[in-house]
Amino acid sequence: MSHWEVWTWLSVLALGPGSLAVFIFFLRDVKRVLREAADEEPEP
Amino acid sequence: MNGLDTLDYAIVLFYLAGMIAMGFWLVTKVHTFASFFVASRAMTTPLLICTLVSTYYGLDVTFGVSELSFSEGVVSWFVYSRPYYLAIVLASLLLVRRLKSAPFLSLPDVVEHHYGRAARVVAACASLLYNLPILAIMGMGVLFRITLGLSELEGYLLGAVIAASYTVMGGLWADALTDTVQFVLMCVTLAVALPFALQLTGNFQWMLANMDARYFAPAGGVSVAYLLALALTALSVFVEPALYQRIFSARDPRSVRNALLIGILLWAAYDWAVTVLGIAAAAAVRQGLLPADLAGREALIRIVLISLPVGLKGFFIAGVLSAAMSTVDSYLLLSSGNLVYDIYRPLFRPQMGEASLLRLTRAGIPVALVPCLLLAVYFERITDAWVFMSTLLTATIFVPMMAGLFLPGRRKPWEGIFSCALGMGSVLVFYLAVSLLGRIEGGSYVLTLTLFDRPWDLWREYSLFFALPLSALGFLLGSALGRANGNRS
Repeated sequence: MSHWEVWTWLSVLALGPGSLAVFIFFLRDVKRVLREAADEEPEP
Repeated sequence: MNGLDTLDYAIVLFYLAGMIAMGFWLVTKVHTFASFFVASRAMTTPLLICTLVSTYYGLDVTFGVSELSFSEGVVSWFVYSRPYYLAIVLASLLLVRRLKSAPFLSLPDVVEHHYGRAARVVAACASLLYNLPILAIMGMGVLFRITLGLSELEGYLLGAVIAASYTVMGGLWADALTDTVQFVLMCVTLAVALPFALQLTGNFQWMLANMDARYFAPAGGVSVAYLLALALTALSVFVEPALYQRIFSARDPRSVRNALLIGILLWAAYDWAVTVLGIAAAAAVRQGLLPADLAGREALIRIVLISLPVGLKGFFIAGVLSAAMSTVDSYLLLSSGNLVYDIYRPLFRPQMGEASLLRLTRAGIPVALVPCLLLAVYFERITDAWVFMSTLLTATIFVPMMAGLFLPGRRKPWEGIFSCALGMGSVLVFYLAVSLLGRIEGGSYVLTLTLFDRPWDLWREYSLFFALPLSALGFLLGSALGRANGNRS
């Protein structure tokens, strides 16, 4: 396997499982972020 | 033929409807300008990674990098992309804490803080020109022409109107929350498409054995001066309005610094994936799988459409649309902020209330679309527009911004005004001179001057070599003028 292929598969891993992991972390704290933002927001 | 099935179209429509629904959900939740423009300064690391990666990488990168690798090979990753990673590392370590030290809302706020209102307006004009999402709109035109058979102008309008609609409703919250879905879609679909395209074209074994050696030469056949000129465009990271907006919207400096450092891994992977897809498209042309007259800007989308099975094509189109729309929505919001908050308010209505500011910024989003559409038809190559806009922004703002943030002591207004004006003016004059007096070569313009009995080729891309020193000279002139005025008074 050439170094071009190794780097290509590393990129696939970063883009696929890597981005999904970031999204899961986002889902874990999205409720808290929106609640805190709403608390700071004055009523119209 | 685009080879799309009903299932593919259904997936794309479902995605577009979801984005608009997100805007409707948020429209009742955003009541202040700070909430609309910097998401209440509440963003955490995962949200920042999603919005930074998806915003900063639109179709300019997706189609621009693959366009270059289609004709030049891996040089597009080694030369175009790598200097950006270094610039992002430096920005995350040096800029973030300083920019979070005051409640700024926009990049021109920082310029005004150091140099006053006149410099703010010049910086806002350069920022506005950079922020107009021309490149992403050009990319959407290409995408919709290939997939839906629309004209490029119809494609520009369709994509831009959808992205503008949910941004008008929800501002940066809508932008950032849609970015999370768009981030996953654009990354995962690219990760899936890459192995399919490589398998179709015989993998690296075939490419290394049958393609020109320059395709796998990291420096390609490009001259050192040209390489340096392209690498210098990475300085735009230090004055990138979307990056500044994300820094201002972060909960704390650590969140955004971590997001940038993790983001570099994803950006590097994304760049490499589109580089390889561009080379795979070139291989497919040699194998007769794609037409011999294939345009570089279409390389990526064409190779993927012939590689993926039904269903996955729809996801890929949604992924490419995500890359475009996450950029269009963010930069339309920034453009409108430039028009209303950075230029109109300080010049004409300094006492503008919160409600008016929010209403006008929303109204400015569709207004900003008009120059985007006009400029999208001017540039022929995506990479041309990309280099011009990065160059103009960097030449105008880089020197005064870095001096304001890092030089000790108080700055003088003339330093900012002269530096911004000379930087911006020199780029415009250089581009105009080379375009009018030069000749077309290799898809760009070059002007040959004879000095000391020797011909010198000035490529249009060399403008930063002149503009940055002139901007620094303007700063020094302004400093001298400010000192002279100070002594007189």
